[in-house]
Amino acid sequence: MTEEARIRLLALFFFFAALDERFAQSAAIKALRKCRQRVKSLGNRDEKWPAVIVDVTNSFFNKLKQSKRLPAAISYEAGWILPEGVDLGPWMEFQKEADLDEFLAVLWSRVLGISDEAISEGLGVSAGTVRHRVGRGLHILGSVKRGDRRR
Amino acid sequence: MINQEHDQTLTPKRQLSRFLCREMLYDFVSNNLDHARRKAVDEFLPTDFETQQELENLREGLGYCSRLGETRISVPLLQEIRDYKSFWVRVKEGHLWRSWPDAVKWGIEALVISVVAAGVAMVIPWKRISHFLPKASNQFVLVEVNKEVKTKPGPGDTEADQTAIADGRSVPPVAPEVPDNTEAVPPPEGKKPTEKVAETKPTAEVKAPAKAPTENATPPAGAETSEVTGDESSAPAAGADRKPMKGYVYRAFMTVEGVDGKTGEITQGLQALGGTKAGQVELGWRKAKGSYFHFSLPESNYEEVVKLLRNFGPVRIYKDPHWRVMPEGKIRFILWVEETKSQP
Repeated sequence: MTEEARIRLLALFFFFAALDERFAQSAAIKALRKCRQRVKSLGNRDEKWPAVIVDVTNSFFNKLKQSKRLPAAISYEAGWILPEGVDLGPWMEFQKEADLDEFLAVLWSRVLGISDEAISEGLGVSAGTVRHRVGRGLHILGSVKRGDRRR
Repeated sequence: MINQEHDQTLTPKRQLSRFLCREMLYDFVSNNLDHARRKAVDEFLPTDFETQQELENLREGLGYCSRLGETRISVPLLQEIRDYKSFWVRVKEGHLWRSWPDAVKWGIEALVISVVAAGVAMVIPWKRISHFLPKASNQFVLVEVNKEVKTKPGPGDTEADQTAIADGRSVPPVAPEVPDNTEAVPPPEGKKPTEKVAETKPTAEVKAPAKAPTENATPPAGAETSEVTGDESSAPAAGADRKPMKGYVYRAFMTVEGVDGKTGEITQGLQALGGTKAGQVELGWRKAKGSYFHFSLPESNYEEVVKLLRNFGPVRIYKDPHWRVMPEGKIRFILWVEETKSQP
């Protein structure tokens, strides 16, 4: 995993988790520093980066939820280039509807592309648990996207 | 393959429940099911509409997430996150210092220098190193006041008195009001007085004043001293005043009734006893409040003079040290005779 890929993962995670570019930028900077320290303590093994990213971002996001600093409205600038035609409305609705574990599992697994094994290692749960959370989250997200919210 | 056929022949075919099919849908979509379970899900899906809807939701969600995953980050933002340096790192590297305005920089430098200088000044043990520093006079003249006393010198004033006045020094009165039990001065050169001067106070004892007035002393109540004539100009300087004075002058004070009439009698009596004027004025020089006598006479006539004066009234005599030394066998008197104050 290259340095750019790591930064991209961290930046996208905080952007889609908080939907605030300023916060995402500062949080990504801090999380990157934390990840570097963590990987360094693990012997600088490159394969540890995805699990470390999951662990660090999970703890950061939990602190963010506790501090209630989540922004009320979306805010993004030119630094974040969304694909054309993508609407963040369903994502915001999904954030409200889904459990936090399911929301984060979908974000890590299907948006950031982190493997289920790395997620399970980072969270300290089984891979089946991760897949279950992702499946439930995708179901909620799909129903929100289709306008047929049914759980 | 053999085992699979064996399973199909030995165990009866079981249809999936909706719950199981739903739980396996994500693995079905993501291609993580084995062949048998995949086939089972494939067979169940056409029979259940809700499961078909859930499968559509999953596919919709996967498609939406894959689109979100295509989000890119601009290169400047990427570099900013990558190259971010914390505040203290920037302080260490001097980035902040260079970006600050010159006024702030100069202000901070001045403040730091002031604090350091104040700290050094407080830390240095000035008392210990003061011995090594050049000493300057620690006396500073703040104000210099020259007080000029407009006093008209009398004809009998000594030059020392006039000098004292000119120097602004105060001239204390020689004879403050002495209580009535004051004693008379013993006769000079070991001659013991045989009788008390002030007969009105027979209990008084004879002794010299505890502290002799200085040579600048003057008679009270406007009387002016005139102890020397022209040769008094050789009075020692101020520094010589402090030396022990070997000479003496007798200062006598009287209060009588009818000064005008008795001044002449006293003058004649003194002259009869060998008294001659010692100052610049004649004996019995009349002033507004009394008569002034400055004279010298033979030492042997001291007691006679005391007797003479006693005939006119009570007399107080003080023997003051004086820088002027009279010739052997001569003594000097300054007598002030004042009118008795009438009782109201």
